[in-house]
This record gives sequence, structure tokens and C-alpha cells, in this order.
Amino acid sequence: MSQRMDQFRSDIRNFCNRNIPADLIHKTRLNLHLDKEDYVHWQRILRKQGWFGGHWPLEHGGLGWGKLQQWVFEDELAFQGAPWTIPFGITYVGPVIYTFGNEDQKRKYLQPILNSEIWWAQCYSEPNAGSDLASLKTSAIRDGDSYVISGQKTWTTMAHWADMAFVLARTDPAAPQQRGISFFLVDLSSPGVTVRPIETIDRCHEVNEVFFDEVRVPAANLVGEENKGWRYAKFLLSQERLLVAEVGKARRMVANILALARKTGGEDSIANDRGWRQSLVDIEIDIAGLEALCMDLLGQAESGSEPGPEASLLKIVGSELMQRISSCRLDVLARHGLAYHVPALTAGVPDVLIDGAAGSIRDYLHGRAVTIYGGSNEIQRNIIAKSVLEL
Amino acid sequence: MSALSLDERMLFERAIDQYLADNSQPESRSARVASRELRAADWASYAELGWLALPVPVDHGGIGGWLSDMLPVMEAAGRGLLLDPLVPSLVVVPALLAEAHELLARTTLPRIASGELRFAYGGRGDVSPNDAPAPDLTARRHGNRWLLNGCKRAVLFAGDTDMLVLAACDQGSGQWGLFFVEPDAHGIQCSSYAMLDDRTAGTLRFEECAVNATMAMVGPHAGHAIVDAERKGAVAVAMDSAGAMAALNALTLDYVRTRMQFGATLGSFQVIQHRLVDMMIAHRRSLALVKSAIADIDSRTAGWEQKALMCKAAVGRDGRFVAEQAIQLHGAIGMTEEYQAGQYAKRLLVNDALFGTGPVCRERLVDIALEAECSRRGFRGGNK
Repeated sequence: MSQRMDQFRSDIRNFCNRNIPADLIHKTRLNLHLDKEDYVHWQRILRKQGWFGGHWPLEHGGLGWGKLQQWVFEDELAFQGAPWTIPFGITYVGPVIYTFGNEDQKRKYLQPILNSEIWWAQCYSEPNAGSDLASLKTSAIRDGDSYVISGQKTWTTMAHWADMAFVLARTDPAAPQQRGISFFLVDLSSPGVTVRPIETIDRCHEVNEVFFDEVRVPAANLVGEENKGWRYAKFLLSQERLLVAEVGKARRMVANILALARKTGGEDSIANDRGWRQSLVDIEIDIAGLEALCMDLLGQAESGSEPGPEASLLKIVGSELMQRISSCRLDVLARHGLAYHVPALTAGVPDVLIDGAAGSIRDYLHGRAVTIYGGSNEIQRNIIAKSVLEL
Repeated sequence: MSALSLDERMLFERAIDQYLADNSQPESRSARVASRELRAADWASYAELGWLALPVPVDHGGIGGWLSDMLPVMEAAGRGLLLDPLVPSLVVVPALLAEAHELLARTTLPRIASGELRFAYGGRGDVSPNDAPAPDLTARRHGNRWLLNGCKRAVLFAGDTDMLVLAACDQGSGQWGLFFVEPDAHGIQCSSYAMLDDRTAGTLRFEECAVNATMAMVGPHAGHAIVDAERKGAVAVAMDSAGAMAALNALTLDYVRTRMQFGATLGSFQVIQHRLVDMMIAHRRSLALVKSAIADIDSRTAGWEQKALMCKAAVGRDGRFVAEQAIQLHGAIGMTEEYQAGQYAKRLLVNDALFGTGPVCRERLVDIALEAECSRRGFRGGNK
């Protein structure tokens, strides 16, 4: 990697050492619950440095970073144990607004995203529109200077914390699927909006159902043109594709696993198990491989020839590697009994057997979703087979 | 080998299916997690169904069943996500008592059959190389009693049973001993916790806890009995996993046959079909290995210990595969707590951790293979 990026990483490392609050590092190290305030607090610290939204164009308050720098930024943050950069505002809807929105929308929404004043949720999936998102049925019917939105969205991450949502809804039921969808910005405090929690297998609440019961949304909240919403969603997807693989996070998890293995079991620790050691080394090899793939594709983007659908391989490889790592960590705990003490996911509550066990188990369970969301890995392979291999 | 005729077996299995059908609603399951009384009532139902008499010899008031007779019950436990201490009570402890002195056997076995006793089991722990006793729990002879001191971790079902059965190190001989202790005996502290799949375990701390010598098995035979009983326990856990896999495969098959995306059922896509075939193979192989291990145990075939270890290791690996694929094929709904897929997946993960994780079983198999190779070549002392 270039000297410039090395220096950037070094700057991030130093910044993190000085600025991530100790209680926050504790939570991320043990994979404990983070509150909304934790994220907002951290995002504002990054904003003061100018780095939050660093990938935004200068004219909109960013630093104009390219893809490589944006990737390095999030990668090093993750390695240093910073909380996940929640993308819904800063990486998803923000760029859609400054790319396709009108001046009023830019004025109204961009600064509050940068300042972490408005929290966003992504309302895409529906109970019958998962992989087949284009078949979504939430409708938006024009009525005077409003649209009336009705339907049900599901798997909406952090909707219970959100002020606004960006919603894909159907404005033309007669058009072929993708061509009748529009992109709306919806105030979740509007009458007719109900957010209902969904408990996941880790016994945590992160995702929700969002019901829209004839919700009136000002026509000014339509982004871009009617029936072009799918194009904006695809734009968003293509932005994300190159950034999705987590190398720094993987390395941090491996370091954590080694510490956990050394701490548990003494002579009988799994750290002495030859098979387990080999699987850990295989993981390290594959992290190096993933990083090499990222550099390869990001390098292409830097030199001006943006990679196409083959970038989907980053999602496939990265997500499956993450699952292997979580699984490897679960194996460390398995020989000591798989106690799962959900209260210990909250900072300050002691675990029953081993510190960090609850968070590790939670990470494994939660991690089963990474090959499902963001376009399941089956779909990603279909995309590559069709668009790259032309099968 | 079986203590039941074919007809009896068929009726027995049908009654099991009926019991599961009557008691399988998710709400009833969470009610059981929360209520001691409901769980005690379940155990009484198992007595009525004849499950508890199966492993008890006829002379002690039981049916005198073989391990093969336990398969429908253990499989049902996995299929029905039962929370009760079936493996310790119906497999491990009866196996131990078969090697115990007459008084202990005579006073304990009938109380298993009657439903009076449910057992928690704290064994060697997963990680003793060469089956050597770990010093965590020790026993010291004092007149006609033994005094227990130390700590026993990961005691299955501690906190919710009538009798604790614990392996400890006899300080005098340095060998394994086995001790039957009542949970409210003086000198015991129990902190129990829920495992990932809602079954319970506990950490027990002992301070000069007195156990009558009649309630102990100490001596060279105790060590062998413990190892053998735990291998059988491992196979029983594998039976449970086979049941969980069967249920999870059926659930997943049903889902992909009905769920539609892109104008077609998920099951019409070749990738999904192949994945389901692999899941089917995983279950069939697991069940076949379980039956093979059971047959070797019941007929005392040489090498049954290796078969038991292989069975446990293979079923652990196949079980995790089925658990993970089932969630993947269900998509996001598989990630919800409400839906059954996640519950089966958690069961399979916990089972893999009980009575020998994959890595531990594999290490032991390598040791056994190397010992066999050395004795074949005539070396003394074996190789590690």
C-alpha cells in the first residue's frame, strides 16, 4: 500500500488511541451492547476531526476521499476497536441525496447527517420481498402535494432509534417491477408509522418491522424522479460493494481469539489443540487473501477503472470468512460449556463463566446473518455467474 | 439388540410421536423453561410412558433395555427440544450403576424407573489427556465417609435435579472416584446458569461435603466405569442431535417448498436443492453412525470406544453444518427467536459441546490409534 495510506492509517491509529473513550473500547472488545448515545458520541468525535463523511465531496462538507481511502479509514477504525460505522445516513442516504436530490433536500438533510442530528433507517425488505426486492409491494399514491404510503417493511436495522427512513415504494403498479419504484424520505414520527421490534436468535433487539398505514409524505420528499428509485438503490449498492469486506475487524477478532484461548483452560486450553491451531492459521491466510483482493479491486477503482459486478466477490469471501472466525471463537468456549448469559451483554454485568463469552456467542449467532443480508451469498454468486462469467 | 418386541417397539415409538405432537408448541416450551413444576410434571409423564424404566435392569424394577432401546427416546429429546436431564438419568448413571456395588445399585436404580430421581452429572471434564483425573474436585476418606473439596464445572442440569453424580480425584490413590450426592447436602454451593439452548448447567463448589461410603464408587474399576459411561453419554447426545437434525431438515424442506421469490419456490433453484441434499446426507450419515455405535456398544464389539468417539465427532461436524445451512436457507426468518430453526440450531451447537467436543474426540482418537500402532509393534509404554 502507498506511503500516503500508511501515514493515514498511522494517523487513525494515534487518533483512536487518544480519542476512543475507555468505556467504549471495553464494550467493543467484548462485543457488548452499544447504545445510540455511544454511536452518536463517537460519530461526533470523528466529525470534529473532519473524518466523519470524509468520503463526501468537499462541496457537501466532506474531504473528497476516494474509495481506497474510505476503505482504509473504516478498516483501521475497526482494527482499533472503534464502534461500527453505521452506514444508513453517512454512507447510504447521504450520497443518494447529494447525487440525486434537489437543493432543498441537500440543504435540509446533509448537515444533520454529518452532525449526527438525524438518525436514518433503511426501509427496503418486506415479508414477501427479500432476495426478490424488486417485487416489493409498499405503495406510494400521489394525492395533491403528498404521497400516501402504505405497506410493511421488515428487518429494518435500528428503526427504533431512527428519526427518518429512506423507503422504496411502488408508485407505478402497472410498470414492470424495477421500473415502478420510487425513493422516499419519510419522517418516522408521521401519523400511521408503527415500529415493532423483532427478537433475533441472539436474544437481542436490533431489527424491526415498520408498518406504514396511509402515511402522508410531502411530495418534496421524493428523491429524484418518480419511478427511478431502483436506479438510486443500485447506485447505492455499487458504492457499497467495494467497501463491504472487513479485514481490520477480522484481524482484531483473531487477536481477541488468541487472548481468549490463552486465558481459558490452562494446559487444557484449545490453544494447544493442533487441529484448532491449523484452522486459526488458515483463517490468517485467508485474511491476507481477502486484503489482497480488496487492494486489487480498490486499486482498480483508484486508477479510474471502477470494478463491476465482480466486486460482489468481496461480499462473498468477506462474509464467509467472518463466519469462520466467529465459529473458531465459539470453539474456544465450547469445551467450557456454552453458557449464554444475555444480561452480560450489557457493560457492567459480569458473565457467569468466562468474561467475553456472552459477546462471543452473540457475535456467532448474529453473524449467521452476514451471508443473508445485503444480498444473500447465493444471489451474489448468481450475479457473478451471470454478469461476469456470462453463464 | 432390544428388550422390546417389534410390536412393542412400534407402539412405544408411536406413543413418543404422540407425546411430542401434544407438547411441541413454542409457547409450551417457554413455559417449561420458566417453571420447575411443569418440568417435574414432564418427568412424571416420561415415567408413565415407560421411558424411565427402559435402562433399568429387570431385577431392579425396569424393562432391562439396551442402548438401542434408548434411541427413540433420545432422538425424541432432540426432535422435541426437551429440556430434561435424560442423558445423565437414562444413559450415563445407569451405565455407572451397572458397575457399582450392589447396595448403591439396589437403592438407586428402582428410583430411576419410578421417576423419583433425576440426575445431574459432573464428569471428567472435556479435556483430561490420558483420562487422568483433574484436580478440580478431590475426595478424602474419613472413616466411613468421603469428604469432597474443590469445584466442579459444567455440571449438566445442576440446580434442577434430585441427585448429583460427580467424578472426583481420590486423594489417597490419585485415581477417579464417583460420588452420589444430594444437591442440598451440607457443604455444597451451586450456581446454575442457562446454556445457549435453555438447558441448564452449573458450577458446584464443595467444602468438606460428606458423602457416605455406600454412595461412592472408588477404585480402579471406577475410572473405567466413568470413561465408558461418558462414551455412552456422548453417543446418547449424538442421538439427540440426530433427532434435532431430522426436525430441522423437515422444517427447512417445508420452507423451501412453500416460500416464493422471483415467481418460483426457493426449492426450484438448483443450488437450494443441492444444499438440501447435503443436509439430508448429513442427517443420514449421523443417524447411521449413531446406530453403528449403539450396535457396537450393545454387542461389546472390540473398538466400540473409538466408534463412539468417531460418532460424536462426526455428528458434531454434521450437526453444525445442518444448523448453519438451515438458517441460511430460511433467510432472515431463520434469524428470529420466534421461529423454530434457530432453536434447533442452538441445540445442535450445545450438543457438540457436551461429552466431548470435536477437537477433544479427535485428539483421543489419534492417541488411541498411536497406542494401538505401538502395541502392534511391541513397544512398551505407548507413544503420546
